[in-house]
Formats: sequence, C-alpha cells, structure tokens
Amino acid sequence: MSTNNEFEYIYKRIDSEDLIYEHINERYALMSENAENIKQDLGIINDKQDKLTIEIDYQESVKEIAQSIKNKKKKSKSSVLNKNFNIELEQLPTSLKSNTNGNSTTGFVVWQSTFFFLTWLLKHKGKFFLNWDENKNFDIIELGTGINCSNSIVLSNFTRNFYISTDQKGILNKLKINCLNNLKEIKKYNNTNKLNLASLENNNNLQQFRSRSLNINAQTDNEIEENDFRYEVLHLDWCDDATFQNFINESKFIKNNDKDLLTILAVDVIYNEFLIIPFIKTVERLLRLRKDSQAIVVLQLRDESIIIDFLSECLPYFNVNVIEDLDFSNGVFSCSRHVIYKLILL
Amino acid sequence: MSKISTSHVRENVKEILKYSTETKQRNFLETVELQVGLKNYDPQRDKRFSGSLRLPSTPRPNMAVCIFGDAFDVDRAKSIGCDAMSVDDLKKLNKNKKLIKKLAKKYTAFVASDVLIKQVPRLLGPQLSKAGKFPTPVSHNDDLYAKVTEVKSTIKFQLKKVLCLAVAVGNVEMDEDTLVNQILMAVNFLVSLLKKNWQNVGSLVVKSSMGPSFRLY
Repeated sequence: MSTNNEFEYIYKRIDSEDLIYEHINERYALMSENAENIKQDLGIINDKQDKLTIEIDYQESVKEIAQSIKNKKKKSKSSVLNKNFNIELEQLPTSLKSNTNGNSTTGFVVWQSTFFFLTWLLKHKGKFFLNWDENKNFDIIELGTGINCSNSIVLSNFTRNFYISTDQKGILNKLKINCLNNLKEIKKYNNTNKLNLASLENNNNLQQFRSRSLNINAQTDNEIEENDFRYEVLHLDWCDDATFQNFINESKFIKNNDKDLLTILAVDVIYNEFLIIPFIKTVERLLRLRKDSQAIVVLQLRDESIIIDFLSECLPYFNVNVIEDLDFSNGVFSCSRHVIYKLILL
Repeated sequence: MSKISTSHVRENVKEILKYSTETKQRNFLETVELQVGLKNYDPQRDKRFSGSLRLPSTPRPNMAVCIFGDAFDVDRAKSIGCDAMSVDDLKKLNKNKKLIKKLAKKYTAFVASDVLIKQVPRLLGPQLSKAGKFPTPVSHNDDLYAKVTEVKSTIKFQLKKVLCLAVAVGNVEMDEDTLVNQILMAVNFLVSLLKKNWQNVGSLVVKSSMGPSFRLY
C-alpha cells in the first residue's frame, strides 16, 4: 500500500480473491449506507436531449501549473489555460432506445463516469496517479470511448505525443464530429495549429498538431516527428483480432518512444461478462507496446458479480490496484458509485 | 411520464386488500410484491442496473435482520430484540461454506458495526458477497433501531441474468393510500433505472403472498 497524505488517496493492491471480496464488500456496504446521497440511476447524463454542454472545473489545477511555470522563470502561459473546459457533445439517445440496431448502442449516449473521473483528476489532485509529480510525460489510448470525446479533449492538454480514442466502427463518425467541435478546448493548441506545452517540462516547445483520422495536417506515413502531437480516432473492436492488427498498423507511432508512460484509459466499459476476457486481452497486448505502461479502468458500480469477475480475471495478468480515499468512509469515492483501478503488467 | 395511473393502481390495491383481509385471511402477514417483466433488454450485453430505494413504510416489518456486532452493538441488538452475532460467533463458523450459506439464507439483510465491516469477508469468506448481501455499517453514534428499520425499508432493484425480478413493496395491513404510494414510488424508481425507461417494461404485476395477481401494466 502506498500513501500520499498530500493527495488524500491511497493505492491498495488487490492480489488475491480474498482481497477482491474484501474490497467489494467494503464498497457495496458503504454504497448501501450512503444510498440516499448517491445517484441510483444507470448513469446516463441525459437521455432526452441530442446536445449537451458540459463544464468541467479546472481552477485548482490551473493555479498549480501557473505556479510551476513561475518557479521556472518562464513567461507565464496561464492565461491560455485559465478557463474551465466547456464541452459540447452531440449524442444519439434515439439510437440507444431503438430496437433495431442490436446491443452495441451503449456508446451512443454520454455516461456520467467520464465526468466523475475528469473532475476527480483535475480537481482532486489526480496527478497523484498520472505521475505528473515525476514530471513524466505520458500518452493515452482510450478504449470504448463512445461518442463522448471529453477525456481526449481535456487530457490532450497534458499528453506528450498522442491521444488515441477508439471504439466500434458504428460510433466513430459521431465521435469524430464531437472531437472536431471541441478542438478549441485543447488549450495548448492555438490558432496556428501549434501546441504549447506549458503544462509539461519542455516549456515553449511548440508541437505540430496532426490527425490523420480527422484530416488535420495529415501526413502520408504513420511516423511521428519529435514535435508532432497526434490526435486520432480509430476503430478497435476487442473481439475482433483483425481490427487489432489494423489498429497497430495505423498507430506505428506508439512504439517510437521508450521514455514516456503509455496509459490505457477505459471508462465504464466493463458491464457484462461477455466483454471481460476480450477487454483484458486487448489491454494486455497494448500494455506490452511500451516498457513503461499502465491501464486506468474507471467503473460505475452496478451488478457486483461483474466487478468480482473482472477483478478475478485480471489477477493472472496484472498487478491490480484500487484507488481509495485516505479517509475511507468519508471521501470522494465513498460518496459515489465509481471506482478507479490501476493495472500494471505483472 | 408515468404510464400507469394512480386510480388504476388504487383499483388493484383494493382488490388485493379485499382478497387478503376479507376473502381469505391468512395466519401470517402477507407481503405485497411487485413483479416486473422486462423486455428489449439483454442482460448479457447491456449495463445491469442496481439501485436501492428507501420506502416511507417498511414493507416487511418481520424481515429477518442479523447484526454482526462488537460487544456494544451485540448488547444494543439484544435490547431491541434483533438477532446478533459477535466476532467470536462468526469465528466459530470457521469459514464453513455450508454454515455460512445457511446464515445468508436465514437472514434477508445484515447490519455490521462499522469497525467490523472490513473483517466480515475475512471471517466469512465470499459467500455473503456472492449472495449480494453486503452488511450495512452502523456506528456507535447511530440509533441501531432506526438503522435496522432503514435497512428493512430499503428495497433493491438489481438486474441479474434473467429479465424478471420481484421486490416487496408493502404488506396487507397497510392502508390503501400507503400501499398505492409505495407501489408508485417503486415503479417510478424502477423505470428511472432502465436504459429505455418504459420501453423496457414488459409487465408489472402486484400480488399478495398467497393471493391472485393483478396486472398493472
């Protein structure tokens, strides 16, 4: 168990069946105790409207970044960052409710776990687990993004080389539209298509923003230049090996780097038994792409048996950690239905 | 938009109460149950809802609750006439699967002293979690009686692998208004949990333990 008082969170290693049950028992016991203060719904933000505007508070993090820039006696760029994120999302509640397009409709609407995660990350000093402390740069591949591009928009402000959102084919078009509509919120990306790495160690370095899938400054090859930032939306179906190969071919730029941390991010994608094994296999293969890698899995706690199965299946492959409030019974997690796991290859 | 009207529910509640209090009175307190059939929902693929709702009146006042307590809470449990087990009692079960399954079956719900919450799975193994029976924590500052009542009044809707589920919403000694209100609360809460709301509802049936069933939807 590692603690960090400053951040009010602990990592707790879960390395046996017993600990899985202990963890599940604790969380669900607290959830039943706090039932009246915790939202009980399925987790859809709004299933009536086609368009949503979401604001994510970013004040606290801004102060820290401004401070760190000041300390390094660089010209302050905080004005660029000194705003909350306003994200406008188009969703397809009618497709979710339609009876004709099978069951792959979950990603057509916006789910609340993403915002629990982002708010926690930005406001409640989530840099604890993203290793911002060590000044380590990181890159992200997100699995099962759905049509909600919020993670990619917000976190692209902090990633070094790339952010790749992935999902099934049917969802990608709407996801791309949402990405394009919100690029202005990638605040380090200014009008000249150059990125300013104010939040990272290489202040004043400008990066070239490129996206093949969105057709922005697209290059013909898949290599990444030292100063490129790649923002891609790609097809990746965990149950289909061919799409994995295609994905790897289209993302040759992932491997190029041994110093930055590769983070696989998955938010609210484990909710039935059927997906658990393909998901774990996919995560495992992706984590092997880099020496330094981790997976962050954010889940909404629904049927407990799914969570238990997921954790049990993870044990043979990963070092599994759960992030908990230091004050377990009275914190951000205990007053929510959400849980964050960090997986590292064994 | 609710698809069932209060007056429709009321008519059915009248029938239930009439049958259980006049036509054929039983020697025990019959529970009124809401049975739900879902449709257009694939529990193998879709997100499985899980939500608890506290009803204003306790549907099953005689529901069996057991308290896992430290010395203080075991004493308090005795004084309110509630079954209780101490850490030593739990240790005696020696993680015996059969005994713990029996325990999980005997009681509908469990309450545990907050200091013991962490120990419960260590003492009892995974059986309780597997049965979905997570003890509700109680601290020494809480009123134990109120806590037990709260647990008894809380109903849980949880989708498992099948498309039907049932919850206790009341009993036949409740008056008509209370019962109607409890049923409507439960139905509206259930519908709010569903991915496609009313489109996922196949049927809603209310019945008393031994009485005939009445279809609401």
